[in-house]
Amino acid sequence: MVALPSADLKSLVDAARQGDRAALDDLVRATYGGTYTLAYRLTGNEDDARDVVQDAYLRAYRGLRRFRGDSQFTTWLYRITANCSANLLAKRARTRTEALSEDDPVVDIRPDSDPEQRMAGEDERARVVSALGILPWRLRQVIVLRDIYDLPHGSIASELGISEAAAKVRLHRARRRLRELLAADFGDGMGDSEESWDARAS
Amino acid sequence: MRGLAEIVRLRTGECREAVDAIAQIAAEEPDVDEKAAAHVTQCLRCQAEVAAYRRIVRHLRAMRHEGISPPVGSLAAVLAVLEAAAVEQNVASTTWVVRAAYVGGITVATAAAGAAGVMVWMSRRRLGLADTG
Ligand SMILES: [Zn+2]
Repeated sequence: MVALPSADLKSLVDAARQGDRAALDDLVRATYGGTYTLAYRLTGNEDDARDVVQDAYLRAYRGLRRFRGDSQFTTWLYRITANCSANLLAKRARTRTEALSEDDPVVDIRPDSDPEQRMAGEDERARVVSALGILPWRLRQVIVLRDIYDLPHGSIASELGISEAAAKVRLHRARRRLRELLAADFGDGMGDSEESWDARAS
Repeated sequence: MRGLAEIVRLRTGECREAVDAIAQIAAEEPDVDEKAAAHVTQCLRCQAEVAAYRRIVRHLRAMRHEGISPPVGSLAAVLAVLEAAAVEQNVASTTWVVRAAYVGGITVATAAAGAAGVMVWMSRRRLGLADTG
């Protein structure tokens, strides 16, 4: 991935808005790695990430004239990506008869589905990544957008098509579930075992 | 795997109610529930939980700067899709120009009559306004 200074990115955006095809291609190349990474984190798999990215760039291309230069181009692109991802996953959930709700038990669709077993031997970061990967997608999305990409609640709500209050509630629920999944790795507070708490309490 | 309920089993009701606030404090977010925040400042267990959650938040934020390699050929596929969209758009605008040129003759022929009609309508409207005003 080519990491460009934001001034260079801005001039590419300006040129692409004027219809400069080469600038558009350069703009895609410069932002592709970041957009794909976000799409992958949101969808949790390569095939969906590819579809989401393709959809997102197409929409960005068609809406480029509407892009307001005073906001960051990457932020704008990430919001489109979040929206495309939410649409794709919602459509998929609707077509599945046994669509999972947020409160259904966590199901790991990958092979070797015992999270604790798989997490053993991985370092702390990898455990967080794994836990995020096995969160139900509705919960994963809010964590990714808020805690990784630092999007404001309002932007998250509008891209996911829910109210801001609902987005906040979903974020609380997502964080609880993530914490729950990481209980074995991040301790239960003071880093003591429950036995020692029992002993102290008595 | 232990559930969250079990993690907080030994805590007070106030600790349980502070669970969401703990995550917010760890993430340094505003609008933390005041009652919960006040409890956390007094409770060592909750403070330890803030510290644990802060480690999780640190890992999440660091992921912002870690790229996942896209599969080979996926960038090329996107560029091809955009190329096709650009061609489609050009074809559409060319078609529009051709159509405009074709319809142009009729438009020019009717324009004069149309303009005359509008002027008649406007003067009638003006008269109407003058009558009511
Ligand atoms: Zn407490």
